[in-house]
Amino acid sequence: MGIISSLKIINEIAFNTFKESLKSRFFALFAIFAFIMLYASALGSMLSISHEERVLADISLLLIEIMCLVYALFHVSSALTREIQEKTIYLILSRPVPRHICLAGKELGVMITTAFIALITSIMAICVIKTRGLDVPSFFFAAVAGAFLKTAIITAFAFLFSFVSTSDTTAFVMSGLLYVLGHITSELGPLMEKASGAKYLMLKACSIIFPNLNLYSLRETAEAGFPLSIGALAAALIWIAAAYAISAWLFSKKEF
Amino acid sequence: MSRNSVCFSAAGTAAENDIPAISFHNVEKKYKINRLFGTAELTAFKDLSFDIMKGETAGLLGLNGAGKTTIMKLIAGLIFCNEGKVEIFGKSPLKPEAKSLIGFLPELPYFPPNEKPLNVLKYYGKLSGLKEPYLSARANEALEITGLKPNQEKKIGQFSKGMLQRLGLAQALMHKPKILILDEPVSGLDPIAIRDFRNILSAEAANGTTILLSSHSISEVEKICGRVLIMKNGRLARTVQKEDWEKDGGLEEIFINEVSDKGREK
Repeated sequence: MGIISSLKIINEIAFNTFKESLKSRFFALFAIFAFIMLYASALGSMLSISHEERVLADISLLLIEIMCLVYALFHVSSALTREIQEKTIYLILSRPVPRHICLAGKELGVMITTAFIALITSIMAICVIKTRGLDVPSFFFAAVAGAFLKTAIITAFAFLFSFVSTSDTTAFVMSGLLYVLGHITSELGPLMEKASGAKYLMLKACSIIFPNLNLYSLRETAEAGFPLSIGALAAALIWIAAAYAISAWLFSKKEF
Repeated sequence: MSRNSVCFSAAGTAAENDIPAISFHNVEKKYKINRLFGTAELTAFKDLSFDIMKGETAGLLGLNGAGKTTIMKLIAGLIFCNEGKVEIFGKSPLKPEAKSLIGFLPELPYFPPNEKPLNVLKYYGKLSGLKEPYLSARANEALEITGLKPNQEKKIGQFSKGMLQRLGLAQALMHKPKILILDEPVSGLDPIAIRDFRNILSAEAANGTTILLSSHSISEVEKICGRVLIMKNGRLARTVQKEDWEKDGGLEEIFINEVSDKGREK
């Protein structure tokens, strides 16, 4: 299969995944939930006499990241089981669609959906901030982009976990744990300085394998004028590509 | 109307006419089952060999767990055999060239309820490599063939079970496959829908399409198929030709004899 044909099929599957998400009731409820939470954050910020703009932006950014993450985790961890139960995977894989292409389409579809969630919830947040007569902080958009990158990395790993785990719950928990671990990977640096020998090698391996999600917590760095380094962006792409490559290999061995 | 590159002519190449459409050669399939401590293996079948020739309409009969769906999944490339060889016109079913020859209808597949049937067919058509304007024309043709044309403006959520099964068949027919693999195609359908299904399959068979279907409905298999493979406990118990069951008082009698304990004693 040529590159152009492969890209076309990836695009078809990704767009279909996105469309399915938009039409699912779960997604609609999710949007309502997001709006209610953002509205609640506006009420909460009224309790803060000073720095209202900052408090409101922080709460919004936290909610946007959680929304994207929860959607990705819930969707991906149950995707395989759901597709087997509904037999939709049969209709795709019985066609001349290579499995790695199918996986790329599915992953891209989830990433497009999370980008869409980030976009919609950001618009909601901006509306809430503007309604309060405040300015949108300069770091807001960079921080949303960082939250999306974190979700994209976790999405790629969540697919990988869904292939190795025996249940949806395990895949969900493993992906959630990786999200937590990803935020403490940067703490390995000081530990490595003190360690030596096997301990050092183990810590070093962990620092490479576990994605450092703090690189994408861009709220503070963007405020200081350093939104996202090329290195951090490259690292995100490498983690996504590595997780995808292992997932594609596991998917090629999977029976349905 | 020009055919897409992934489709092949109904007549087939000379090489394709000489080799079986579907070939199982000493195939063994085992499943791994998770246990409390480790895993166990369950043999679905062993040393299974049979050929389905081009243009043949064959049926798979067997009790639950006999291995019918496993055979279909092996042909569709959804699972892999442990030993032996499965071939589609001499090619591995895992290869895209073989998959483009197959149209697969699993038992009760899901379709998105908010979509219209034409969009679903176009989606699967694109995955089969079809391109516009052939894609739209073929999707409409598939709706016509399966009798869904009058309902094309309805959303799939409003479809009855029979209409969903027709849509399942339509997606399998989208790329004009040379082989149709149908898992329980008439399960749960009313008599009129079953008759319509039979007519569609007869038309496909008349066009030279090879059909392999599994069913619990012996009377339907009897009406549609020219040959039947009876599976029992993971082995091919018997192959019966149409003339045999016409001569021996019907397929049901032969099937019951083969799969019952009485048959085992024989």
